[in-house]
Amino acid sequence: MAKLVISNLHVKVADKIILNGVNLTINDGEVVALLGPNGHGKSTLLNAIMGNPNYVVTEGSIEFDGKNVLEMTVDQRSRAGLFLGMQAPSEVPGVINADFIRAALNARTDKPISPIKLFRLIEKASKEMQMPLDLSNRNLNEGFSGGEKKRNEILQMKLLKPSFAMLDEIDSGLDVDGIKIIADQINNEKAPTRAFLIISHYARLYDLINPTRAIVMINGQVAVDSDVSVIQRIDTEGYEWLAREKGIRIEKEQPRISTLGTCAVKESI
Amino acid sequence: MTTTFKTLSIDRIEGNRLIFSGAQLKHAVIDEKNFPSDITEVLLSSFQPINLIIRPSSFNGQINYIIGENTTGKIIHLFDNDIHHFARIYRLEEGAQIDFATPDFEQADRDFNLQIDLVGTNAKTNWFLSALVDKKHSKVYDISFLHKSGHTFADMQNYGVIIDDSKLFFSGTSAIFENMSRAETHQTAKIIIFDDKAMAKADPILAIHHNDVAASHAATVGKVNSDHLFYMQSRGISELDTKRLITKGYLEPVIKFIDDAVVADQLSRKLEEAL
Repeated sequence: MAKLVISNLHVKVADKIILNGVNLTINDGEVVALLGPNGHGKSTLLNAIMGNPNYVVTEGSIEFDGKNVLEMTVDQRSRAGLFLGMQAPSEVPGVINADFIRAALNARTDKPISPIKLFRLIEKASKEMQMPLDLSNRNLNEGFSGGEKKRNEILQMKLLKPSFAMLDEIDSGLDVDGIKIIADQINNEKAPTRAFLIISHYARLYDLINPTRAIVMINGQVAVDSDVSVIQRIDTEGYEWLAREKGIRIEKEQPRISTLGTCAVKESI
Repeated sequence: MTTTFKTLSIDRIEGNRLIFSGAQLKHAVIDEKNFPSDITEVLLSSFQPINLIIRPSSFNGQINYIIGENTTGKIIHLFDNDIHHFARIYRLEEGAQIDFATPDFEQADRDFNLQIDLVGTNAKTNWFLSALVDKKHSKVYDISFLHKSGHTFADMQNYGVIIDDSKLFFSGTSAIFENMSRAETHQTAKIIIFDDKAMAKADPILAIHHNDVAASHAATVGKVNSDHLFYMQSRGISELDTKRLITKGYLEPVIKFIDDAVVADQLSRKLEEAL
């Protein structure tokens, strides 16, 4: 089961309201394309669903298979079947990729996975992702190229088998062959009991994975919820036609404040 | 599997000085508890690379270790729980090149004072410390490098993780004296704090009295990166296990200095148990 129901969701990031009442239901078997101009709430929605503490839900609800997601910790959400393939996966020094995958698999079972079974699982998934096996023995994402990081996200998705997978610009930083590999693996993972919510700025990925539905987020709300024909139109014309034809006012992305430099920074390790 | 390290027996004493030399230092344990009480100096000298474990005693006086000319290799300090005070000076003679590794995962209080004197040309040392402090313990490490000759090199890397209501301090001075041309010294100190009640301080000091040298120091004390925590937890790993993995990854590299599988495995298990 992979039914996600979002009602009147409001989310703020660092005191700025980003989502302004999102209503969205995604059912088993759906592959949903999530589009929208930069800064209008796509990644915020995915992070809020996954429970990123930087994204604060101020109002509304998220239910997954009838359970209140907002009451769950991040790891509980993952074990319940939610997965977020990240736009910029963290590089974690010192933590070996294979140890990380083992811990994630063991979190889902009473009996720890044997070293040989873990090796075989990673070996098979690495081959399918066309990733060198030695990446599994390196520090988690540290020194990985942009493409390797994205493939590593899909590798984790394949091993953890979430019922609801969210992929945030998983095709950015990938060459044509890399996009094809990722699309093939998404297609392999599709199932009637699973659902996908996929952000991309490019029709190329969507052409390869054939979404069942398209959603456009504008001004922190679901502005368009339609069939997939909208993807091609956005790819060729951008978003302005939505203002002309549907009367949706598209607020410009707020420019980010930049600093020239500081002599000291407070740093996390 | 058995360890390749053998405990050295004392077979040569000259006054207050113990002398160990030659091939016996290849995979050897020096247990200070076996030292006669009047020993103040230990000479280590070999033409072959040495690979030593030193087990400090709780002896309160000063013991000076002299690393003989052109002696190279590594020295690992392994502490027992009951060693609270430790003060040693290592003197590296000309051409002596030693890597020091100090894994300290014991649940104990520690007042650690160590000075490495680089007295001979081309003396070189790399220092690596990994310390875990928890359960209200206090660990203080004061480690200094004194460059008393030109063309010497020293690099210090101190890593710490502090949990609970505990204290961890890294301090020490890297000093390059006048006319010590082409000396090079570096210090890095990093501490991860897991609890608001924990107290940590890293205070690396450079004292440079000559121009023709290279020197750097860096210190970071902070909480675990929240993005790392979120990323790992988003794969179903609990907060506790996430912190365990990060801590292990942060402290474990010191164990890679140890080429004996048995000793390395014992230390890994000790770290796992502590976590």
